[in-house]
Amino acid sequence: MLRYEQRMVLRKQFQAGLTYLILTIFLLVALLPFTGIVLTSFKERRELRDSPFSLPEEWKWDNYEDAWTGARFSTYFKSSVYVVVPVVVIAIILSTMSGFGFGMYKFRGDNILLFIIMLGLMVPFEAVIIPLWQLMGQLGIRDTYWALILPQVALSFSFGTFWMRANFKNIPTEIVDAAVVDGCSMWGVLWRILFPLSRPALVSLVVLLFMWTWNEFFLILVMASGDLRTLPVGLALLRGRYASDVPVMAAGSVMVLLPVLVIYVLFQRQFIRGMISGAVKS
Amino acid sequence: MFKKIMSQASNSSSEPTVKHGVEIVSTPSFSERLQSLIPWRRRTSAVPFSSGSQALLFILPGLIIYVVFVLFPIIGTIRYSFMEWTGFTEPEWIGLDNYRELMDDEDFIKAIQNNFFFSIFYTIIPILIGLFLVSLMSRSRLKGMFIFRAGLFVPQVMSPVVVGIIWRWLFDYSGPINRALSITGLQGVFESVGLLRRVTPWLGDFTYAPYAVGMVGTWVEYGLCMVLFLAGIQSISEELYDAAIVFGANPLQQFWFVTLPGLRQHVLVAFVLTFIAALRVFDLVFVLTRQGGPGRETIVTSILVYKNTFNLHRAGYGAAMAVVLATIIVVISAGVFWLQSRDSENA
Amino acid sequence: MKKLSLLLVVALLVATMGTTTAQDEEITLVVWDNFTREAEQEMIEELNAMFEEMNPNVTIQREAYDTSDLTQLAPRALSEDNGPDVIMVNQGFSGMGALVEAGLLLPLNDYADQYGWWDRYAEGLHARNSFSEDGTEFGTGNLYSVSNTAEVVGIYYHKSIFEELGLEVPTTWDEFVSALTTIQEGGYTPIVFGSLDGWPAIHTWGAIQHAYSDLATIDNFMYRAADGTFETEANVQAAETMLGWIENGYFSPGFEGMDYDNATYGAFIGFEGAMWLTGSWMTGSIVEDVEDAEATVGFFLLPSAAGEEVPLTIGGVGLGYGIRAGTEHADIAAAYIDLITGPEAANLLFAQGYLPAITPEEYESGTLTGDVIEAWELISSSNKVGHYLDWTAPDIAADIQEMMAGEVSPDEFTANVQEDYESGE
Repeated sequence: MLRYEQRMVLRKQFQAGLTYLILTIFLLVALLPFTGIVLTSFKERRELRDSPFSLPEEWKWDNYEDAWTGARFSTYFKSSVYVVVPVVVIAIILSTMSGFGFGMYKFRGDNILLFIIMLGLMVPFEAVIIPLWQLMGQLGIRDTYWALILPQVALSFSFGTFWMRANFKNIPTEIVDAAVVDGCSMWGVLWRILFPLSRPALVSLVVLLFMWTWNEFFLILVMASGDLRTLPVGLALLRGRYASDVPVMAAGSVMVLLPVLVIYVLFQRQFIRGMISGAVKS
Repeated sequence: MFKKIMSQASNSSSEPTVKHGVEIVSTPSFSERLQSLIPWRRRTSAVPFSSGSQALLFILPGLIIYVVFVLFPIIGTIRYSFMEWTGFTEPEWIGLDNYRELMDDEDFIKAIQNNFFFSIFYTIIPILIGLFLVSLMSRSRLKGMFIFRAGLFVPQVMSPVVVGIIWRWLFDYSGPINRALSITGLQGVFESVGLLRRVTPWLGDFTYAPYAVGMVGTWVEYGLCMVLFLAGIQSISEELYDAAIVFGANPLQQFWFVTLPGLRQHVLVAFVLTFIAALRVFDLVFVLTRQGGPGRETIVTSILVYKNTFNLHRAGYGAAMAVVLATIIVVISAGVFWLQSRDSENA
Repeated sequence: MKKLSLLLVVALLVATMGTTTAQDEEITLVVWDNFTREAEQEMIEELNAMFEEMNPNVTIQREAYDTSDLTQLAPRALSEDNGPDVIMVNQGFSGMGALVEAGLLLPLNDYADQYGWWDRYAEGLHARNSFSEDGTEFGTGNLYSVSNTAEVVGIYYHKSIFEELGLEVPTTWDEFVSALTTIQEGGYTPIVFGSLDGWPAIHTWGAIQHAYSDLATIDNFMYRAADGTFETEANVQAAETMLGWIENGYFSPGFEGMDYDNATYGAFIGFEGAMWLTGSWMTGSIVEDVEDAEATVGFFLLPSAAGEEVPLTIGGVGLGYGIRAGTEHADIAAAYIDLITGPEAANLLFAQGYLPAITPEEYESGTLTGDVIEAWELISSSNKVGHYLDWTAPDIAADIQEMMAGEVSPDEFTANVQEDYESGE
């Protein structure tokens, strides 16, 4: 007979093993498709009949070269950066300010105003696209990066306001009270005191906005032509051009994924930590 | 006084602590406060400032961009929904005709039904999976959890275009899924009980396509739920679990009586975000089954809006569809937010 | 107050981002086409360079889009002052029809007289690029575009498999049907087919439908003539035939889940199947991917089930080049179209594996490309060129998929298409 402690240890080990097993199965389901596409991107077309998870006979970068130059992914990559960076930077600044406005002040109609801003999260984009396209013409910014940046700033602002408002609501009021007593203006309170304190929420917001903007498809498809197009739309075009070249398509897919993955892996700890302060308002 | 609080805050912020297997940086004054407010974190004082004009100054810069680039176009869409309009010629006012036509449009009704069908896969199942994974990851103090946390979120990070390409390849008739089925012999088993055909054309099959598209939705969305719950579980006090254990609660009971109530708010947020995603879904269906095929089996509202606006040049009719869809989303989201705010007031 | 600040922002945006247009004597001709593959790009660039040499004051600014993108962007691009001067236009009511109705395209009749475009190819083919001035009647009225490519939907086949099974190219419907059995017994898929993308089903079912039908009925349906209808005996028969073929396993196993570009194409070039019923646009890719394809792959027309000597066959001219109504350079644009749809272009297109609308000067009989050209010559000179059904019934792919899966009966299928057709008017 095993002693109680021994039984407990065994049981604990069994539980741990089971937990790892279940989690590993989920992890495989999450990552295998991605692994398959990475392996495929190094293969030649005749190797496609082998198992998708077999290693390529020879690791060839040709497919990446085809996608990068042949399918002009270098151009789309540049375009993606030109769009995503300004969107994230501007949206972060604006939503921090408005989140502060909503989180720290109570005023008449604040809930209604917040709800109106939240509409941007709820309305399907296909609906808005044609009036938006007309507007770009009236403003004279059609076929410029601004036509891709400003609408996405506006949409990110919806989510960002929601996010940062919850963050600021969770910050103890004493900090603000004390700063104001010390003679600090609200502007100073926001940028010098609360902004650094909000780092976790900000990191999460940056990651989310980066991810969503980087992956945006529909807006770019309709609003951008030629060199203004970003990577996901470039990938969709690649489908037509290298229609039956699966490895080149796989290489293109990896190029679209990689930047977001890198950002996510770099920030994932802070990202999850930041979700705590943004997601739920108390 | 202010300096004192600040130094407290900054001193501690560099010391990571491990709680529930998730590493967080805690601020003693914060976490003490938070834990004293179990089970809900709550503000002690009312909102500090009530100068509406000052608040507006902070909100205004973003609001202007939002009004110009989101609100104006929304109003434009509502206006066009009352018009017969190709999208590039002079529109003609026709009142409610578009909406009347919608009522008898079988495709539209089918699309709305599909949106709700997909919301099971986009919303309910991901929330359940998320809860399950989080309860596994957080209650066991095991090593290497960060690998799972990072890896399990990867599908959510992927561009829907890439997700579509990958899954079209996986579902291909000679693709990995069918191959795995035949290698493992499962194909024969399913076939013999009449569940599968000789070669299942997943995305092209009238029976399986809706489930296949739905499954991809689950694969994408559970990561978001998981991360939200991982964050949420950190705000549940360890003392509650200790108390539960003292009363002899087993892990399942701990989950049911401590974790789940503690995550109520997060579940609501996850519900709203994924539900909106389910009703708005476009890219994923567009890349998986093109126009919502086979037949009209996986058609969703956004695809119909797109088709009417860009292929059939019926932008007015498409606008009406969009308005109906948006109204459904807004009403349901508003309902959930109302629940949420009532919930946090009661706490 | 709020309104004022809004206006200010708008003004600011305009001021900082307004476009600056350089005023010079040089003419820039903006051209949008759908030649996106790299080799095609080079071919068009070559022609463009030729044009620029002939017209030294003209610079061509060219953009290439997928056909679907092109169709989607066209209406709005053409309504702009700086939109494309020359653009490729998709046929049919939702393509050219909508553009003509909105007054966005220039009638080309005078230029056609001037340059002799009418004689480039058969008159019936110009009808496909024609609309009444109000955009409501298809196939009559003004000419709005000129094409430089042609398409014919027929059957690619592997000569080696035919030899192995002792088959000749079938010339009658019965021979074709018995070939299907022979091929199947020989262990090959008779017809590679994949319907996942929807549109290939239009060609496969449509080819069978054309085999049973006569041109007048299909023309009337297409051009929405008064007695145009889809509910014909031939259409029901074609649906039943297709269901029979599915039942007998004449198509690829799991065809509902096969896409066109990878799975279906792969099944043909991988010798899983003996025949592939699809459009002549695949010739270039097949020549590129199959070893010695010119000698080992052939092309023939699906024989007529109605006993016609020359079978009625889906096909037509490819996207045509049109001119934006608002352009300031209409004459230059017309000169450009003359070159890009002329004999030099035809030879270059042919070299790229395209089927040019005008027969190229030199081609070799008995090769794959030769087969394709002769098939096209035959149907266009005998007035047996049919239509793509989705030009007038945009949802027909979904209807065919439902019929193939047995979700609806052949009768219900024709009734459904008829209903969509009528509501589309």
